Amino acid sequence: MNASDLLVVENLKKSYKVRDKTGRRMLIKAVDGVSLAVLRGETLGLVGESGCGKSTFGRTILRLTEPDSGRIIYDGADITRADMRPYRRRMQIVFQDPYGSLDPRSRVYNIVEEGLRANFPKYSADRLREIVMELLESVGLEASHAYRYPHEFSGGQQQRIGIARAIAVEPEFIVCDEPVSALDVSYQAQIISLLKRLQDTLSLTYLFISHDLSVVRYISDRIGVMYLGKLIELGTSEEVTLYPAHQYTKALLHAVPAADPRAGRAKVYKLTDDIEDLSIPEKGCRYCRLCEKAAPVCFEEEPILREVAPGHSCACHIL
Amino acid sequence: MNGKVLRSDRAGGIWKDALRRFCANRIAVISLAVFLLICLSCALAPWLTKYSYTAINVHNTLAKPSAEHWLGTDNLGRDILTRTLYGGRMTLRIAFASTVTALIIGSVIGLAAGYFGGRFDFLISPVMDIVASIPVILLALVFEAALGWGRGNFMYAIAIAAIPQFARLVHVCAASVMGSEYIQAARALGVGPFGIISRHIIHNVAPALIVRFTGALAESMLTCTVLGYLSIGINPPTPEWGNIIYHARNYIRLAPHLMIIPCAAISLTGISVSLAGDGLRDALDPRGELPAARGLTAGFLSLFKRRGAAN
Amino acid sequence: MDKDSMSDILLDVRELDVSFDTHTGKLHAVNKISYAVREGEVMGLVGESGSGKTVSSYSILGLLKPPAVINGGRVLYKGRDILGLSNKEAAAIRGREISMIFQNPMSCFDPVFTIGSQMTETVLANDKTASKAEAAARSIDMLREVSIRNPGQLMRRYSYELSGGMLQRVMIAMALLCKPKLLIADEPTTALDVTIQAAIIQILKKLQKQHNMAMLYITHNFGIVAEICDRVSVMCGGYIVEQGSTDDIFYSSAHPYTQLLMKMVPRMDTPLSEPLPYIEGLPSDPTALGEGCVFCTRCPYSRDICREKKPPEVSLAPGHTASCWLRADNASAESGRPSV
Repeated sequence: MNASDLLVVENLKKSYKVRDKTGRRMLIKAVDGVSLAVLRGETLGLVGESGCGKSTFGRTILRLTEPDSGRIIYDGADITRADMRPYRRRMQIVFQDPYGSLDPRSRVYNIVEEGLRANFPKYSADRLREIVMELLESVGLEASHAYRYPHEFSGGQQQRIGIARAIAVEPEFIVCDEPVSALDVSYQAQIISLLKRLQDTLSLTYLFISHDLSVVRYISDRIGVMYLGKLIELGTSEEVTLYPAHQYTKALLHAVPAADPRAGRAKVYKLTDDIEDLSIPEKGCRYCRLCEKAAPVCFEEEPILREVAPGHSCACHIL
Repeated sequence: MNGKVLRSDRAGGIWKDALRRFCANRIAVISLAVFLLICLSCALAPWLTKYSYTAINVHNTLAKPSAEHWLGTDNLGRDILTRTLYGGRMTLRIAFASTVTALIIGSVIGLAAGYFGGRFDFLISPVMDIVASIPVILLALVFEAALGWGRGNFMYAIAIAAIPQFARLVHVCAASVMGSEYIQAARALGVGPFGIISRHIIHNVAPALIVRFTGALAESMLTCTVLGYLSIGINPPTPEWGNIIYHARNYIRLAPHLMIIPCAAISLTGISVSLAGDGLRDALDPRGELPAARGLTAGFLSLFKRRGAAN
Repeated sequence: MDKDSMSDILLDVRELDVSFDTHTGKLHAVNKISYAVREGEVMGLVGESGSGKTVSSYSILGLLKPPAVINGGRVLYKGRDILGLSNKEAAAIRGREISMIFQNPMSCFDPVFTIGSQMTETVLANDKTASKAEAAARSIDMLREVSIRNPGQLMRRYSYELSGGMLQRVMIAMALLCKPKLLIADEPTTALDVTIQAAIIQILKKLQKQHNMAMLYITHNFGIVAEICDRVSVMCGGYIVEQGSTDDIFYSSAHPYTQLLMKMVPRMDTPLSEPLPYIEGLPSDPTALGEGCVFCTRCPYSRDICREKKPPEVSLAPGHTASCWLRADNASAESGRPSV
């Protein structure tokens, strides 16, 4: 544990019991032994396809879902099983679905005020009103928006409301769970710059979850890549995007459209096809079935995360 | 495309908005007024008529409506208006009492099942299914037999029979609210279970519940009269819409108004409460069009004006 | 490059005008837009949400429902106006001639029937002579074309058992079953992961070439436009503000809106220190559109004339037009282009 670490996660595991088509019970290992540390004041990007466990990871470290095993250490205190009440104010979340994460029957004012009321019960009504209006302004909304309902706003504005709600309680750490994936490019850019600005003024630490590396690289200091419940690569944004080590990271990088008609796509990577493909292989590397460079060892032994360059580690046998 | 409706940016809760929307719905307001008028006149029956509902007058049986007896008299010379009002008093009292009881018990059960889910849900749902499958008439017979005939004990039966629909409704609504991300957000903000229930769940469940309540009220009123007609309910001479109709059926040729009047009362009550419920449902949807703010009285008066072309 | 002969124009939308009747008045969603799709060509329709791109495509297939009203204009398919067609005639064109894929494939499948039965049903509905076995065989072939490895097994599956990416591929297969001449793709990859998006675009590109099928590709992402489109129409607030070949739009775009929209696409090849540009403000309220340019409230170059008068459409190169006062002034004297 380092003094600069705000959040340390050790070997976190979370699985869900589901029934398959035939009614058989099976265990889906959403997060399967992830360890990482989030430094104070940084943005750690977490990238992966849907179903890789990145959202579950984000919610588990906030204890919105309970972890099966592993340790979560926040600001030096073990919160894996602790009473979360003192920590709730300090750790917040912004969701992917801007509309679904706002109560359709609450006015914007009440949505933003809710956290304040829960955490600062001593504030007077006037004080609350003042704070809410300030918050709305700081996320780029107008005071007149306070008494409208969420459905009256565009996706980008709804996301701003969600952000205002999260920063209302003066948190230190925010999990941004795909906050721009459901938005148009124009809103995407607006929200990313808003999050960056807030980070600077409020000295926030972000865990920024997304499936799109091109979005993540604009906001992250470091990037972690997840595949089927495992962290397979972790490094600074520059390292990961310029010198990706894992074949899967390379595939993710190439999936981003070049936005240049003359550039053309260098290569199309293989695609996970069926539900069966998303099951975790019994042994070996999780990516071995789609990996182009898979060697025999990849089908036998699961690689562990090891350093490939200073501050850049990767879980791959062939590098 | 988002058809943006401009709203006045005035503060005011969801309930205030709902009231404004409700007042703009002419049919709903009239229905509610009719329903309230019926309820009020039934409640005030002892002060509205000078007759007793048991006062027999053998010299004036099956009389046509007159200044003395506005709606005529029945086969025993009793004032029909009086008996209809007193009958409604009984029927509506039973309907209200049973529906409110069912609403409270059902909501608590549903809320618990929806909020806690899991094992509690597993226990509650089959029980509710079993209760829902028992015919209300059978239940009423059992209660009457066990607790004594003709004393309105069958109202427990009506209440019990109405519990599952409330429980299921609240359960489904609460479960869907619990699964939404704004509950996750509230939990992340440190809002406790009481806050989540009182703010989010009740706000989101209440509209559906209110609408269901009006429906259930009409239903239990009908059940009550059906039971009365089958002589399971309130026994004569105490009037109740069901038993009034039962005794009027012998005179349907001779004096059809004996039957028509209570039937009309039942229909009018049922229709008005249902229409008012529909209006409530529309009014409680925040996505509905919000009419311009204006005083309640002005809004009420505008119902009777011709709707302007500018609207 | 410039094949302006009328003969190979497959779909010709002329002055199409659509509005919504709302409580607060008429909301103009599409303002007299015109564009053409040639045979075998991919036309991109690009714009933010609310720019009217989806509405305009829905009107082609007659899928608009009240309160939407088509105020005027014509949609010529192979020279025949298809706007005024009866339901029966429109149904004959839908599927067989023009097909469509949507953003949310889940809502396009019936959860009660297997994928296979829905696909064979589509074949049989459009081809009365086909037998059931033939229809199934054709469905399986088509599924194989969208890179599904085990089509036989997939035919027995239900829509809710499949992931979004799989379902989108199945929808593409279903749309192409009757070999349509024109495919309208309404943001088919917006709801998907980037990896799946890349694969879907590859599949669409391959099939488009193979079947020489024209495509109207609706998206808000210029990254995708670069990958797949031959020509582009950029929409803003119900107007087409710029139109041209993909190269024209990417390398010599004339409208500030196009330039900004393009710059906002997150890319991998810009330096990390460079922040992502964005348009300040919100799309103007379509109900309150004034006399000026639709983009004037957000445009960094807006001048007085932009707020007062609608800009004229200026031809910049063969097939490249833009509606902007910046270009209108110096269209004759070709000075430097405004850059963002």
